[in-house]
Amino acid sequence: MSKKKASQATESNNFFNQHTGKWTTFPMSWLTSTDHKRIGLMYGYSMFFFFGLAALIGLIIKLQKMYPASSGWEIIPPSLYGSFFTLHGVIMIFLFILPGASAVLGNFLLPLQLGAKDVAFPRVNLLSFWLYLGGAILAVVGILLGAADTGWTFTPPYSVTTKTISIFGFSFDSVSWMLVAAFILGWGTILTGINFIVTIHRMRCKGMTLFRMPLFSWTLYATSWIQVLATPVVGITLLMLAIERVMPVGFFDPAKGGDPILYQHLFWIYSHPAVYIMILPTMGLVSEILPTYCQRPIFGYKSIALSSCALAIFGYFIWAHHMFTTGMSDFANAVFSLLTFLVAIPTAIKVFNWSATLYKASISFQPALLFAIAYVFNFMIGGLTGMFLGSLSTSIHLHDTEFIVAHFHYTMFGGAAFGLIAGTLHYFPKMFGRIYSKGSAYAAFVLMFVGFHATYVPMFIMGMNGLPRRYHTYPDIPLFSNMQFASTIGSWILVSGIMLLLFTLVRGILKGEVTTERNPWNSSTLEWQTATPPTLFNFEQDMEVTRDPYDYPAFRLEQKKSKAGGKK
Amino acid sequence: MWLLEASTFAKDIDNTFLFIVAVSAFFLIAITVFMISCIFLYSKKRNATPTDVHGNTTLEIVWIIIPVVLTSFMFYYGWIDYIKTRQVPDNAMEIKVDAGMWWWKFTYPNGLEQGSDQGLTVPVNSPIYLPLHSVDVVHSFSIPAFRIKMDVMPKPEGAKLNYSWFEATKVGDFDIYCAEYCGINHAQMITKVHVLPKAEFEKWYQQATNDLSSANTDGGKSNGKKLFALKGCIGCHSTDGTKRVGPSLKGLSIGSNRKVVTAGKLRTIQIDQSYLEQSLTKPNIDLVEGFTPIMPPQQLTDQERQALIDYLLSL
Repeated sequence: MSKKKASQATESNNFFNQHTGKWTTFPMSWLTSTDHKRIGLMYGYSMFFFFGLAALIGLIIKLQKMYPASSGWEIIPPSLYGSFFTLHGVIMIFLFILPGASAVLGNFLLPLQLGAKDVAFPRVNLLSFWLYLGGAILAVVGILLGAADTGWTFTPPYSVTTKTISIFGFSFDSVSWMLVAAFILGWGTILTGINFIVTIHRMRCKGMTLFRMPLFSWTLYATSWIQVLATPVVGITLLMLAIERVMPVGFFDPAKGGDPILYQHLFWIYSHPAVYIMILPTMGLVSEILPTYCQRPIFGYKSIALSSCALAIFGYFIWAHHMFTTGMSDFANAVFSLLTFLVAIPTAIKVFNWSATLYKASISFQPALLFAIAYVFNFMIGGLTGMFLGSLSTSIHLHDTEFIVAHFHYTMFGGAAFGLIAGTLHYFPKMFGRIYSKGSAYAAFVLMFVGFHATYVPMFIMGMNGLPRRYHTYPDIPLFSNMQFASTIGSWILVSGIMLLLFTLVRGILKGEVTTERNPWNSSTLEWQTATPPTLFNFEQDMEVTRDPYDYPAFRLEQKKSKAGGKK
Repeated sequence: MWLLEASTFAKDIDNTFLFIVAVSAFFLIAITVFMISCIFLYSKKRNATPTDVHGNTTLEIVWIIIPVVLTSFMFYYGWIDYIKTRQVPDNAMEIKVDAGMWWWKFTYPNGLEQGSDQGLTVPVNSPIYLPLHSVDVVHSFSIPAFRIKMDVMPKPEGAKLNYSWFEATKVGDFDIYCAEYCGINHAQMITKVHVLPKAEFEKWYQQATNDLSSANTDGGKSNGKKLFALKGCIGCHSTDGTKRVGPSLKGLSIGSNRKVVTAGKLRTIQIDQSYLEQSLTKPNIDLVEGFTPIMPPQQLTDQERQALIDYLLSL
């Protein structure tokens, strides 16, 4: 009897109820909280807000291309089109998918998965979030006031020479603002990376050896190393570009004696590994989701764990496949083409192991599983279309066309974003102690999945026929106009799906059915043994791990024992 | 096949493309069918107790070897086709390509220059060598029907230029795009390559050489239209009244009124010779209302300037 009372007390003692005083102090209790769970949720709220915002901008970009300009169709003038795709790219990449799953779910789950009370440096963690928020505000204000039109790649010399737009008589150097914003965001990323690496090395509970870590933690580990080692390169590069804009120095502009190719090398040395920052944590999420709903051990645990590290390492050596048409030497092109194909190996390992996990499983179907399966499907298309871009001759034909845009969206949206959504739905009860509407989540899935393919498949076809990317309009050839039309209709379905999904999540958070069930999906990993939602310091006692994370046979024995114990 | 193949490279590159399509389609379909069947076959209802398979080393090795072998072929095919696009035959005709925001210029060995309005005229079945030079930002020279693409970089005087080459196999007109984002009018930086039968090309080229020597004697006056394309005016200004990045030049006449912004203040001026001259050499002093001050000052000889002005007034 007394035991039951104690457990109830802890469950109402969850992290939502801590430090809440008068209503005036409520926002501050979040903004100054060093609790990894609150920080994770704050990242989540801001990122999904930016995701919705940038999706709407994408909708306008697509609408602009519904008909060719020769038919008199113009939604936005060419001068604004450049700003719109820059806005879409910068927000989606720097504010949404780059912090991505590692900022939201990584912050929330890493200490839980390791059996720790918090990350290694909770205050630094809060600083990371502030840097993110500061950088985000700077970027959005900067681009809204000054309409930067360089694309998210800031390729010089265009980015050096493009004019600033004056609004209400004062001129505003939007591009420099964005560069400084990206620099600040980079600091947040680096600090999070260091924090996670130290947490993983120093904060694991008793018995949690490296190879007993859940796979999401493994991917966070690989991701963190990229964040720490690659981000400084882009940080200093963007700063150099900003300096070049405001001072008479020539780093990258040939008119001042600089070298534009140097910029591309420095930018892609970061930005190629960065796509693994975006995708790796979501691979981890899928590796959590599959065994849970299959109720069996994940197939090839060690291969999946090590292939994450392999991706992080290989990711460093293939940056110049973004530069096959810049006039690099043939030898360099050959080396980077060959190295690019190395990535196919760890990627294939993951896909094969994931699908093998479904074999002879006992599958209970949930929205999270559906999103995870769709993730594998979309990501396969993204990965396989990547082979066309690794092979030199086809890569050059497809470079800078709509094909690239479609490929990128298949990996980053159909892949990373679908994975983040799958993870969010999977951990939703744990995070909020509430249940979202399943029907509405399924409906959102159907719209998103259908809309996604309808939007991006036509772009593959246009790109194969050579239509360059970042075009405000296009030649009035039937193939292009039909495909653009289809793609535009697809974008309507897709964005309505996204909006329905965001609505489902918000409604679930505010009005969803309350639950305190600790382990609703019957998962074998440590994070599900905390209270729902977790208490301030996560676990009621010091945890000890005695088995592998996905050892379902052992997990079922434990459950039997505790049931038998409960009956007595 | 729905892709236009019009150069010696196209067929080989498309075969590599098809090979990768075949491999991709096989794995995509096989894995997807496998996953979906598993979801149905091993649902909780049908299969209440899962079989606990932890992994299988042989399988892991097999699915490391499969991608290694297949991607090796992809790399090899990609490389052998690529290297052909880099080795220019000695007998290739050199046509210099200049690019700027937002125009193309093609310069032939005889000194003939063609702008975006005329495009690139070449003979069929003959190799053409194209050194690429940009006067401002990075552009990219792309002819999808030939499967060639190369960035056009701004380089200091005397530096080694990027280049491309092709041998067209079909007579006809094909699109030339700028593939690297280069500002507001990026999507309008389109021109054509006209592939002519050899004999027809020879005739055209001889004619052009003759015209060129007579043009040199009439003071270049008749060249206004040509200068309009070659100096890049055509990249921003229409001649038919369509509004583009710059104002349309249709109906420009001496004595007509025009609203301009001078030092931030709106005023109405009468178009005269000195206004037109100033609009070419210092274009942003009197800015036509509603446009952004982005036009670069034009380097023109007196003769060229007058030829251009005469042409503009004739529109």
